[in-house]
Amino acid sequence: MQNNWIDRIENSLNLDELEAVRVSIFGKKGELAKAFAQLKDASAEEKPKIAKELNALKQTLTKTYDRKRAELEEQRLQERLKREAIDVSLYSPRAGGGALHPVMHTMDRIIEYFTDLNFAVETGPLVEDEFHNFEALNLPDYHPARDMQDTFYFKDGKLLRTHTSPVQIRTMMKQKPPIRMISPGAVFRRDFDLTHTPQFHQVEGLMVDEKGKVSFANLKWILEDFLHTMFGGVDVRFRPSFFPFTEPSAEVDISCIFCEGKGCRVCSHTGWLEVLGCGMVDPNVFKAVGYEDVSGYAFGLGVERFAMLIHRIPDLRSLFEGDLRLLEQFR
Amino acid sequence: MIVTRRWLEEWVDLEGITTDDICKKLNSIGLEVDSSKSIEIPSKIVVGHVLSCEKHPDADKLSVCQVDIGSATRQIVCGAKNVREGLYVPVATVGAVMPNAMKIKHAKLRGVESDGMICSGKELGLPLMEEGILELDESIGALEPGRELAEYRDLCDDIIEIELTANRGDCLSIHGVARELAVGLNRTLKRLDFDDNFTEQIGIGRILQCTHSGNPKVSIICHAFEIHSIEVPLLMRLRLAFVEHPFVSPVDAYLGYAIHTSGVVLRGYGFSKISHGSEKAKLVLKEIDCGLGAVEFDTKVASIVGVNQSEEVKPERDEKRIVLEASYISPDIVAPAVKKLKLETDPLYYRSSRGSEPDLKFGIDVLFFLLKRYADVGIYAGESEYITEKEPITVDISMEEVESLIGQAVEISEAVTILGKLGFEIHKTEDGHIIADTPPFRHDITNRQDVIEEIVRIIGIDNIASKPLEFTEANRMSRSLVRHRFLREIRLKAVSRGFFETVHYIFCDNKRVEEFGFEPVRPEKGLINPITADMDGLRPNLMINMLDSLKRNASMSKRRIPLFEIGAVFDSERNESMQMVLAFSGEREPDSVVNAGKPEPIDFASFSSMVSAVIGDFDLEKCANPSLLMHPYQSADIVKDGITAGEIAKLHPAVAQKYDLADTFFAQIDISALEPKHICAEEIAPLTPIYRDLSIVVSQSTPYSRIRSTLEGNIPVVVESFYPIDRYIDDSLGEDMSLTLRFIIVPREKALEESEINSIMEDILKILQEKYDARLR
Repeated sequence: MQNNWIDRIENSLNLDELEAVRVSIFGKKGELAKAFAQLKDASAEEKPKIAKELNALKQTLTKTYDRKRAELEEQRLQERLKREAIDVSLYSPRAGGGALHPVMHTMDRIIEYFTDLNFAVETGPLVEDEFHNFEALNLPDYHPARDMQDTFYFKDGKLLRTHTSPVQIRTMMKQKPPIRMISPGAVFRRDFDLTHTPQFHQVEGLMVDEKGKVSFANLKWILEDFLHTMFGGVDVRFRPSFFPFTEPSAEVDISCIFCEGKGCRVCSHTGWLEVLGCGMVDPNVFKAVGYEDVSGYAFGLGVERFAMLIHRIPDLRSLFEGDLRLLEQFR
Repeated sequence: MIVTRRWLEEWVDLEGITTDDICKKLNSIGLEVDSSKSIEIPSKIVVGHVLSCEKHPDADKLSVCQVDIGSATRQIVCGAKNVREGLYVPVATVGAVMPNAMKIKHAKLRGVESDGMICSGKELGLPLMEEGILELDESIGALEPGRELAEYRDLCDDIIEIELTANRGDCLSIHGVARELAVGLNRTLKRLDFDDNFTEQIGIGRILQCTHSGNPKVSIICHAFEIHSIEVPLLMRLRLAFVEHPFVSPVDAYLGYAIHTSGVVLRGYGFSKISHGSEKAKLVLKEIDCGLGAVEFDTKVASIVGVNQSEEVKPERDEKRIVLEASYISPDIVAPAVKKLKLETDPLYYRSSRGSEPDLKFGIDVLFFLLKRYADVGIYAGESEYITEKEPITVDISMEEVESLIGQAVEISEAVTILGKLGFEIHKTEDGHIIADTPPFRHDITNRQDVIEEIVRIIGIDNIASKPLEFTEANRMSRSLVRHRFLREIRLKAVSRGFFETVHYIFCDNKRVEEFGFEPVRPEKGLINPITADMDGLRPNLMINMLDSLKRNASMSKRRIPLFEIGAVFDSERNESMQMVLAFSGEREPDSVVNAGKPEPIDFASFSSMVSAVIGDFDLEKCANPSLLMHPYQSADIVKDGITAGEIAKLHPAVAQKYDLADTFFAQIDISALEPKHICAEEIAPLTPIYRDLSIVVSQSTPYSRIRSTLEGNIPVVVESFYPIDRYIDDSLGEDMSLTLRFIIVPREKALEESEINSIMEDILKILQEKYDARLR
């Protein structure tokens, strides 16, 4: 009888069958109950023995049942999991998220570098006047350097700023030194061809402190560190140059990241890429904003150029066309 | 500015220095080399002497030449018009490989044997000088038949193009660049080896009378010479071609060559043009506005010094008597004057406006040296001059200041050497100071910092050790930085909702602005000089240019186009403000197995929820004044915290059709209305919220926003919020609609009985019945 019951439990194929077996064995009217009921007919000396045997049997059966139940539950879970199987490879997400514009993202990175080094961010209007855009920057109206900057003028004499330097003038006229700032933003020049768009973006920096405190060596340090942060292990070269608002002035080159300085089409076979202009602030600029006994450096860069070099974007104009074939690559 | 190595070598010894090293040095002292190239003439091209030249028996345009090439005489058939007996010419002998890779072989031309080719300059890889074959002369060295052309170093020159900065007018000449190289390479600048004791006995006064009126701030020296015969030698033609300087006559070529060599502004006048047949030409230098000087004859203006010259007075090709004028005017005078008086300028103005060489005697000597060497001329004795003396600028440079500006010490002796070589006149050095006059040819050096710049560039910036700055720490979280970070958060939210950031020009087409009913910038404040006709305005909103990007992507078969931009827009008064646009065209989600490749098109509801994921929650009110870009019945004002912050709309179907777009939605948001919110947390109610839905029937003409504002403020505080969840219309409802609202009731102090909740809902229904004639569905 005992083996019969164990077999019935063991042979249950699923939880439903097992439940039926349980009711038939353990139920109120089940076979086990019946066996216990027969106890009352047993003799007094046999009674304790049978009772003991029955209790032992009940324990064995319960154990068997519990194990079987756990086994069948696990089996049912496994079956359910199998049923729920999908071909995950069908669901590789495509075209989900968007992306920041490579120029704006590059500008963010540049801003992040300088703000982490405790530069303030300052901004100013796009429509400027001649004083802030030219004259205060040591560019009188006949200055030959104005040849380099073909300017968009408005009928009332205002203009679209040709660089973000007017923000430096505005900031210096509002605040007292020390000043440590960058001015990021859009600038405009009347030039439209393969390598020029009438609108592009600049980040310019300015550091002003007491006379004798800020030196060219300091300017070199920050620009070298900045370029290494942006471009990795490149060589940095300073070439003396000329800007009306700085003196001494320099242009800064990095070793070509395409050919590693060996010479290629991108670097016009020179091995160098020009990426920055900089210098010590010209005394005439300080005079224009009424600063005395100060020293300072300034620098400026084109964000599109950085973005194109860092991300190897071949066509400048494509950056202003909202073309998803380009933008989706930056996802 | 273009220079050649051989031309430079006439002024500075470059022995042992490669052209690459010259370029490196030029770069390091601030003369940026744009490009450098070498002329290489292949071997087996030799000097030939044309012994005879006869017509080809069978071809009109060909000549049969006997040419001495040293080792032998070769018969060569030549097609050039200018081939003739006695010429020295380049001959590519059999076996030579031309720069264009053509191999010279023995040939038969119309039955006549030809052993080689007489070459043009172009065939040798030289710039174009004249039509036909290259006529050699001894200006490039002794001509020996058979000698390899590659041995003539003036032919195989290296050409360096320098990108000069605007202040370096002093380097607009071979001599000027050589002067810089001499300092950079620590070599000596050569002097012109010229003995000017060859003037004719006739004095200049016999043919020229110069006077002046007023005190123009210019300097002029006039000479005159007679031409007996004049040719332009190969060396001069070649070099003028290298530096891309065209000329119209031999005199013009000599002047151009002397100007490019010396940097002095030289002009020639045809004597016959200014003398009107009389024996003497009378020139008057007259002061005109702004310190300028005009050279006049018979009260007619022949030239304005440093600015232009009348075509009428330039010498003709056959002019025998030339009046030469060397002149200088300071760029600080001429540049503002030209701008102010709006004068016409000629190519030489470029030099005077950037600072031409003030040593006029030097330019004249260079020209006369050339004339004496290559032409047959007679020079009149004496000259006529008007000189404006320029006070030298004296600067006092403190070595301490040099150190603090550069960031490292410079030996005073080193500074003195550098300045001396650069042409400064050193007066004295004492107590760490240098007192010196700036060089007359460096008008751009006017103050101490200018001088320090000169020292720095010769020392080399790369030789300055970089050093981190010590500065006072301060809170530099400016408003603009806080703003930038906030906007970056918003941009990143847009990106995470699938939008792509774009950048468009702020320029736009005013015609389009008007077409869509926006107000362009008032004409009085408009652009004077737009770059193209369709970029003549400033955009009044971001969507107007975004249309082009949507269209471009649609035309590239993009079926889902989510774009955004943050940028400046301008009102009719040209006031600038910042806007954000989010635009979505086409399918709501990417096509995939999820939607069986057929995603739903974007609609108002799903677009609105994307926008709110970017800028936070807002309410929508029917747009009071939809623009022509907007669907009049699917457009709304975005109301954020009680303020209208922008608009959201379906793109007007007519516009969508015009730009070939599928269903498109856009939202334009005024950035100033978006502010980072300061949030104060409320106490969390301890009891479970209760949800109750209420379905009513009201007129379709009742906008939900009215129902919303009616309920707000009229319902008990325990109703924490409510929102619509269904709107249903069918024929049985007629002009009405069924609207279901969901109410969230949050009990405050004690749990609510069912009857209490029912009473709240009944109150709400009552309000709606009274106000909107609503009935329970």
